[in-house]
Amino acid sequence: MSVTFTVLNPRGEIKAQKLRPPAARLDDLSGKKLALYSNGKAGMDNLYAVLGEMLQARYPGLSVTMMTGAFLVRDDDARSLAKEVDGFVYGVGD
Amino acid sequence: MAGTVKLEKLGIPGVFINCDTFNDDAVSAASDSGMPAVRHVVISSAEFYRVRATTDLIRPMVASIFDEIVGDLTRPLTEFEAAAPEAADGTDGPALITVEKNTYEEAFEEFNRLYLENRWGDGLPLVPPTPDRVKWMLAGTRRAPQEILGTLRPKSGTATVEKIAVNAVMAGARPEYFPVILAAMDILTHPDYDDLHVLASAGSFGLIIVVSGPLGREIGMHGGIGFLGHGFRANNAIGRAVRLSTLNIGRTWPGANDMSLVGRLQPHTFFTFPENDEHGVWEPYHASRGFKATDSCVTVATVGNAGPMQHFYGGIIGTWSAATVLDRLVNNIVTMSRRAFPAWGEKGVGAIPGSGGGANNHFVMLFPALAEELGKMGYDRPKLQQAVYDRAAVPFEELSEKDVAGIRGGIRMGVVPADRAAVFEAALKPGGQVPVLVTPESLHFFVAGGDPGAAFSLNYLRIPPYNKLGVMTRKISGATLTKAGA
Repeated sequence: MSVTFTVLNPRGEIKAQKLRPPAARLDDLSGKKLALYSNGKAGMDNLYAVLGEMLQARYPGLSVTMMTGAFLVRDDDARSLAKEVDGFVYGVGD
Repeated sequence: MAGTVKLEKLGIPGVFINCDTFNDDAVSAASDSGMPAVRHVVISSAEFYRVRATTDLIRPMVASIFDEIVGDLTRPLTEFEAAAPEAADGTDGPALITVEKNTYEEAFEEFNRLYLENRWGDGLPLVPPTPDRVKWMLAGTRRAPQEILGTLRPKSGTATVEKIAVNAVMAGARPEYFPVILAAMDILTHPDYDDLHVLASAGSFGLIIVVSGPLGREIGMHGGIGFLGHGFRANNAIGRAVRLSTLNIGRTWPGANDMSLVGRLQPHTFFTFPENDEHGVWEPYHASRGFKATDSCVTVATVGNAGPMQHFYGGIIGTWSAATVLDRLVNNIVTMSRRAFPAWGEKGVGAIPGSGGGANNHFVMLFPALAEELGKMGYDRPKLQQAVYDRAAVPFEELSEKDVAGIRGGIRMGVVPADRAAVFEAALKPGGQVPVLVTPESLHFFVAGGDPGAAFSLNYLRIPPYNKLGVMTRKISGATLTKAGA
């Protein structure tokens, strides 16, 4: 004799969304504008200070901007970045 | 990670840096945001948190990841990365699962093993959600099984009445509890409620679920001594049903995308209890939120748990007076809240000005004898809110420049609503008393507990990080097995 349970799946279904590839990469960093973006959490300032210094030492003409904003970049900040920079690094201190 | 994807979608290439402890969370967030192939550099948590304090200490770590960061910005996308991927299947396993063993005990054990292995359980034994049992649960409401309440983060799973019923069965709930569970889930899936912070944050936030009105008594909820604790099926199963629903519909898991560092301090069931209305002193809480006193309602509020619950006594250790309890409450609010003034004027953690910082809401539990004494002193809920608000103030002369700048910034940004600005403008001058709370409505008084009882409070951000609200009240409706809540 055997015992069978038939039970229901408790998981909420996730609406399938269109997935997208990342943006095309930069050919080179020389002469480019790069944003180093963080949410201001402890340590990101020091990480970016060192990273910015190393990047500018390696790539002549590279302009580096530090930017602090929301954990999830606000729409207006995102639009500004899209207009002003060629690439970015993003960190939230975790 | 979602911010990185947002910028990538605007056409700018980037790279995300995350600690290894948060890597599952980052990968999950990339997928949730629709860009699983986003590039990221993983650093050692153990090292980062130790060396982040100075540039000298962190330099070697940055040097070790420098080439990888540059490479992620410049190396052309691979064929795999550049391909438009197929949309992910939104299900998580088959709709029906069959478990077959030689004995009932073996089948029950296997069912529980399987569900926990799939991350569908909370670590305690579950009641098997058979189709018959779920149908039994659904009989407690008139709402249609396929009705969609909304979605739950972090993974935006769809909450239907039926899915919640499955989780309610697993939790050990009864169908007469189900309308309460649905009303709580209506709140958590509401477009304005910040579900993400309470379900996924590194802080140990939790919920209180308060039932007010006649339905609580009708379904056997316990509101006397021990009301926050174990031993009361309605209280505990309702809270567990909501917990399991958030786990399975929002698809959270400890350490994967629920990043509470010490764990959720209400691990299996949220604090769920009825307001005690037998004292007859005040109208029920929901009447202060615009509902009829005769309604039955659920209030859900996010609360901080890793911080201390603030006790104002009463109880059995010594004598108490209403005046003394109020003094302690006011002192606690001032001590906790005055530090936050500078944050009132900050842009905020999220999209909403002031989000994630600034003043708190306080959820204060008054035991019935205390409510009676306050009633004798002439207080009803609105008068008590105003009295405590007025007393919870700091002399202008004690404020720092940063405090004043923060408050003025909050006024400018609308964090202090326009109808409250005049109160603060009048107080920000010599001789003024500056309230530490934005509005008297930041004080939420509930009557709860037995005799003897104890007064205490929990609190949370007035403006949560990722959405507008961290507290909401909803009328219970659609009940088929009780007079109340129909």
